[in-house]
Amino acid sequence: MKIQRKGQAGTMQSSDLMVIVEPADDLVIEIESTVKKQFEHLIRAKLEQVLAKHGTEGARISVNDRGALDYAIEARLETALRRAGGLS
Amino acid sequence: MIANLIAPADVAAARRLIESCGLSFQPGFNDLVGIHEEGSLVAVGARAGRVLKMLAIAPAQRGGSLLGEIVSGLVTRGIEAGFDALLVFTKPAFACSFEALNFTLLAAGEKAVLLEFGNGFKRWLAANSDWRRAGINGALMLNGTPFSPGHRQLIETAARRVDHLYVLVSAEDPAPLPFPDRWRLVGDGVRDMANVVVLDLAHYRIGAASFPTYFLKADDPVAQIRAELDATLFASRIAPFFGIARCFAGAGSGADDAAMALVLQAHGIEVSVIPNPDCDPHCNPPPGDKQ
Repeated sequence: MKIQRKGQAGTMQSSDLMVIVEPADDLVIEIESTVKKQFEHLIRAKLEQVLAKHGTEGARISVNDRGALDYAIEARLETALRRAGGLS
Repeated sequence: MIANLIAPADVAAARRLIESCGLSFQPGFNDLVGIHEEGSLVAVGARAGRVLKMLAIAPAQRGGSLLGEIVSGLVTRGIEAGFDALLVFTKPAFACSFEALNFTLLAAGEKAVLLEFGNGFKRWLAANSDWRRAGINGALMLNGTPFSPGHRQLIETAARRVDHLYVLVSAEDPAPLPFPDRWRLVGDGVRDMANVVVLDLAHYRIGAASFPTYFLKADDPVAQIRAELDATLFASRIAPFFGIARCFAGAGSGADDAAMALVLQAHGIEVSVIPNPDCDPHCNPPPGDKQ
């Protein structure tokens, strides 16, 4: 689904992440993480899986992660997408 | 639980906490938020536009999650207000606390550091990458006065000495004219010069208006600290991207310009002062000069 407006979810607490979703021409994912070196590929894979599930297109996804686990990544991204009008 | 501090009693409590941490309370903010524990305020922070400031945690509560909570609250409010990146100026000793929250260190001075949350700086570089030019390039900072024949003369002189000259402007400069008007006047003024590029430094020029002083002592040389941090950001992050090896300044510059020059030289950037007895661009145009 198309992203209609800016949406964000999450916090900068340890084991959490902050997700910002905004409209863009292409689907872009930007990841900052305290464990970027070790886990960026896994975070990206999880984000891509959730985005594919909802058919998200035309969005910039900015993630600031502080070691969140998979279920937190999924929950925060879905909430941000919902707030951005990207979930039906 | 994070709360907006609006009532006078809450603001007074915030001021006490900020001052007890050796900082000073600086009015002028969009948000002031705090966290209470057992009825007393234990953490506080403020946001003025894209700048976070006056972050203070009660000494007994440090080392936990409070800084993260306060910063989360302020960043959330800042993004809602339309800023895609938030800046924080603080003491060098606190840089690592913010880096642990995924802030990026943009510039480090002796008494002040600048960090950013979000990829604002990276995006700014990307947005301006069309303006990169090969060669030995120069830069000239225009201050906020309206574009005058003196400026034009200075730019002509500087442009002859380098392959390309970047004329730097920013909405952060103190100026009598609104930025869009200044931007247009400068652009019109140099349009016929093939090797001159006008570059908008946006908020990556550290201006006096947005530079918070809450973490400095009353007798610290604020203008000099700001000038050095500004020069460090420019010399270490901006100049290398655009191949800028020389900076030009008009004659008659003040003490802060001397401090900036030292920082630029320390980063291997040559500083040339252009003598121009008739028209000093740092002064107002002579009376009768068309504005």
